[in-house]
Amino acid sequence: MEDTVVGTAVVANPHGIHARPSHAIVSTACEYQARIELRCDGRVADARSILAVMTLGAGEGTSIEVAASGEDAVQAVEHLVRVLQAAEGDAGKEAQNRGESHA
Amino acid sequence: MPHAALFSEHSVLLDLQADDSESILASLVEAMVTAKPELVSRQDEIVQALIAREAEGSTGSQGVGIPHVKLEGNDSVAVAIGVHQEGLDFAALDGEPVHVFVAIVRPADQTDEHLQLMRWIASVAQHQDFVSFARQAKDVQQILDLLTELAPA
Repeated sequence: MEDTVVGTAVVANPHGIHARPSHAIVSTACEYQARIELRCDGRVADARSILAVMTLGAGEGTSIEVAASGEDAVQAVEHLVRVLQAAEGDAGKEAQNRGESHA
Repeated sequence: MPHAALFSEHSVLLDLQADDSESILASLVEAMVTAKPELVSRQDEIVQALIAREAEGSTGSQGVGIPHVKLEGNDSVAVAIGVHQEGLDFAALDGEPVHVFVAIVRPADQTDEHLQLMRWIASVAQHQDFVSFARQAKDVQQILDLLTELAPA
């Protein structure tokens, strides 16, 4: 059986993981061959499905476990943890800079 | 209030005919403001906001699109749901055509409530039978029933 690589990210965005961060997560997950799951509060989501990621309903401060298995699992987990934590802040900043309305 | 109760017969479009995503969004917003007339004066603004939002990253996946924006100066959630029988290229990440669209406009605050609403609609949309049942619906009430019946316990 393949080993599972696990990393943890804490949601920093006050808006939580809404659709735009979900999009960034899925885009990143699709770059890797590894099977990747996101886990939080007993819920599990396939990181390649934007609907599944949104069903996590992860708000600010929620700890999300990224679990991957497959030959590029280590890289996938490192990248996704980075995206989960960085994309959140960047998304908020971009929206502020443009002064646009976003959910 | 249960999330499904946000939808009324006015907010359901059984047979979307548009052949591009901008027209789809315009049709959905028209239904939305029919159900919530207080938003009529902001109809164009909402359409443009939804188009801009989708251009940043499609909300399409597994045959369902959930275009949504928050709207300053608006204090309640407005929704619309539409079915496109043939399916439309909505730039979904999985490359699949989108058959069911759920448009949502929400107040600028209420972050937690919005996350719960998105979680709910994503859960309904993820149901293996959601898209096929929606496409088979014969009337508006069957769509409204689906939103209730397929909701997670």
